Amino acid sequence: MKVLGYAGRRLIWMLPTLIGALIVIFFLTQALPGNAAMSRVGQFVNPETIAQVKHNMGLDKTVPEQFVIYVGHLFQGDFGHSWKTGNDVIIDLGDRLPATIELTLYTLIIAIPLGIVLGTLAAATKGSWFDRIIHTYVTFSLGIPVFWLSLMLVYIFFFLLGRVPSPTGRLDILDTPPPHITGFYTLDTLFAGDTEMFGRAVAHMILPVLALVFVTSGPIVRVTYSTMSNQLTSDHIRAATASGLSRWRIVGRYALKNAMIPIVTAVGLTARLLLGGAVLIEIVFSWPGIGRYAVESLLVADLAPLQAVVLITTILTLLINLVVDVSYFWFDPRIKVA
Amino acid sequence: MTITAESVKPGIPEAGKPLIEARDLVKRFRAGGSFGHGHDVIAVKNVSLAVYPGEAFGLVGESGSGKTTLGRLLLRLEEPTSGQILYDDKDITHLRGSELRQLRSAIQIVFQDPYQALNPWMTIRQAISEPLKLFRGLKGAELDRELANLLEMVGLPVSSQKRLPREFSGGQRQRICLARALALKPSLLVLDEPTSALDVSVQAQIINLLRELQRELNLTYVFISHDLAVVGQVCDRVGIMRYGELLEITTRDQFITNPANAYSRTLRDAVPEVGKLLPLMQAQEEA
Amino acid sequence: MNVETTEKTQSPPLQSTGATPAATKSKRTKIPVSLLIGGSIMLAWLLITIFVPLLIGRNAEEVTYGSKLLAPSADYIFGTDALGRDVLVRTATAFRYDIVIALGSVISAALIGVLLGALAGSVPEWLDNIEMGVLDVISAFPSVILALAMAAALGASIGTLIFAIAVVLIPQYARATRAAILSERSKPYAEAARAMGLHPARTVLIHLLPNTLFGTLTQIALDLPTAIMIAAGLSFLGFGVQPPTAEWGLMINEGSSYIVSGQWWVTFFPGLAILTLVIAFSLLEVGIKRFSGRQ
Repeated sequence: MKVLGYAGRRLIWMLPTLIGALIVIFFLTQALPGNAAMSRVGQFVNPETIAQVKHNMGLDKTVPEQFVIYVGHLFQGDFGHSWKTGNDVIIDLGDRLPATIELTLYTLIIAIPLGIVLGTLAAATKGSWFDRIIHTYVTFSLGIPVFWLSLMLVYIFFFLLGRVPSPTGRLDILDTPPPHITGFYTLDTLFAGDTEMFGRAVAHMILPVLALVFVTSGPIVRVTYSTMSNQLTSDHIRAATASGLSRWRIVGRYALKNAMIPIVTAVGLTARLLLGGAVLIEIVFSWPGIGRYAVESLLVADLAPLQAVVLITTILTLLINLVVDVSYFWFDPRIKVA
Repeated sequence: MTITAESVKPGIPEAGKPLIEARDLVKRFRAGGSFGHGHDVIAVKNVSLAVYPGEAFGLVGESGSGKTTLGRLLLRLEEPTSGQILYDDKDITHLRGSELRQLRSAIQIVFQDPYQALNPWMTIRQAISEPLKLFRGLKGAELDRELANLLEMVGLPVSSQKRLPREFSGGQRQRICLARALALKPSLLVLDEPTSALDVSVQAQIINLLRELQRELNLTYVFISHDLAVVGQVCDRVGIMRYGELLEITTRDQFITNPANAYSRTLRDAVPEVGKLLPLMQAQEEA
Repeated sequence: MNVETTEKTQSPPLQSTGATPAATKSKRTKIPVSLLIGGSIMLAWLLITIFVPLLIGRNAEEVTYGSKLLAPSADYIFGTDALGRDVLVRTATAFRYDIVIALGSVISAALIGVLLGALAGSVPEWLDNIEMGVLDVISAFPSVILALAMAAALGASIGTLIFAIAVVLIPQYARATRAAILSERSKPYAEAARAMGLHPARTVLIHLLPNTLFGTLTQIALDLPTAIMIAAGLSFLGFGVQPPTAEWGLMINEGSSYIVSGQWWVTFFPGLAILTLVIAFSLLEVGIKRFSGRQ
């Protein structure tokens, strides 16, 4: 299949970018202020111990050597060790990645259809009051800082209305997490048959997902609106209308399909924005995901977790780009592999 | 099948030395494909011809015949894959850099699309005075005079210089392009389908302008067109191209009355106005 | 030269040709409403940031003992924060830093990005590929995370914020300019410049580049709110502007722990400020598009 070949070639071309990214990550984290060894054992230990710790951490080798060792470890799946949590980073990631993905997935599942539907409706009812409301919605969606929105939502729904639990993470403070099957509490609680905890898991997710959906749906609505507007005034749609097809059928089946390419591009953009926005949300809601993991590690100059998180998010970004580009072939049969 | 210029000379008042000459020119383009899977397009296949000072040489053929590419090669806007180009007996095939730039003042071009051939943000004055300033070193009152001169030559009012291209019609823009080309006082002017994008009524005006200018300034033209009726009005000799090859060089009269090549005959027969060309010929001879 | 212009085939009299038939109607170009509103908001903020502290008589760092976390009142219109500082004055003052960061980073990014893009569109392909490769690496990182890492590595301050955000924004300008240059380059007027014998650098800089600038301006208008969001976000996390300087993101952070106990004002007003500024930029962008579209 030609498309697979294209995807394969793209993956290969991704390698130099990935290597470049690795170099940047490595050197940026090296540049972080603070002596990593001293942060670990404290400042008041004698120099010999520090030298010993440095040796253990491999910090006494030359920088290029350290880089090669680092990459070598990566290939073995060894992301290093977090001295703050005491675990290997890969274990920490295993705990925290599902938390972030759970948030992002639910956000995307809601935001993408919502954005497309709102944008389409606005384009179809151009000039109406509904159209204007949607425009205002987009302006606010793009203009509100997500962390501020989250805090305001907490104020309104938690403090004033008492309808959601306090922002203390994925479950109530006294809860023990369900047995790990997928890592998604919303699913694992169901698998464990604990419907009350399921309810609490969902309750804790309401505000963060709401905030994220609001902020990420803006670009999708906007792109959908502009492409659908173009589509609906185009000749082929006029021809379809003239031939008697019902309006909604036209919109849904013909116009939308052609509009998918810019929409998919916007979705890719949104997904990438989410990766960054997740960091901020996790701080506000004390969500134990990889974003918060990165920031906490950054604060104490614990390098390995930081490198790992940046690496993962970068790989995800590149993969998202790849998926979006490959999807073009699916949506537009005219595009052929070069 | 190639015909050298030497073999077809009748009809030229003064033959003598060619102004520009192509010898066995080949131009190959590499089209598409990645990792070396592309295939070549040979736009110009072993073409040789000579254009003499003061004449108007037409290059005709269908789209894709290579006539435009040949014109651009003469101008060195493209580099030949092989072969030679001689201007005034000097080999200009491999000129580069500043030497090539100096050649520019001798050979100029007018493009097909007047709507895109002018920089949208530059006024007419800016567009035409740029070569005047940079290459002829004119400034101040001298510059103004020459600018006015050029505009007048192409039939535009001097007041138009402060305006932007978008305020002009296609025919007017083509005149501006002509003025710009003439600013460098070239000896050879390559005209690439100069009237194809224009309305028929405007075409006649531009063609007449071109003929007047050639007489006044003693220019040499290489006139590229797929429109035989237009070529018939301007050119003395005609080269017929097809699939990159130069099939035949003949005089205009010969072409209308009795072309040697079968393809040339097909071309001529396809022109509805060919019957009109005969009386035109006679009218010109009397002029 | 001959004077008898009557022999010349004169062109028909000069007329405004059909490019924009509607535009010829209104001789004076009207300024669109969005531009007016957006501009007014910006102007209002300028006035606010200069005059509010003066009018109130307090500055952003001033701590008044005994007035911690006071709710909004006549004395303190926006209330006070956890250290007893006037939230209104702080919000007004913070505009300076945020606008400096936004303008500084976006304009630097635009200048550098456009030049890089013009370069990429003019040099041989291998150089172009290397340059684009480097830019690809930069764009591979999620913007907040890259800016965060750089700010942390270089030490958080206004200067590093400007630098970090600029780096994040550069690739878009470079890519857009490069694409525009490549497309303009194939147009006849670019070839005419070449046929005239112009030096390639002159062709690119003087002929091609100005025709690409409209896209750049639009992008600048789009990036200004983005820059502010990133700056606020980073300061919120603690890696941007440092206390005690007043910055909106930082203020939101400072107030965040008090939300659950009901003191909403410390967080609310800075965020509102960001919102108004972003809306102002959006309106300006829409206005600029409409204004130049009319021309």
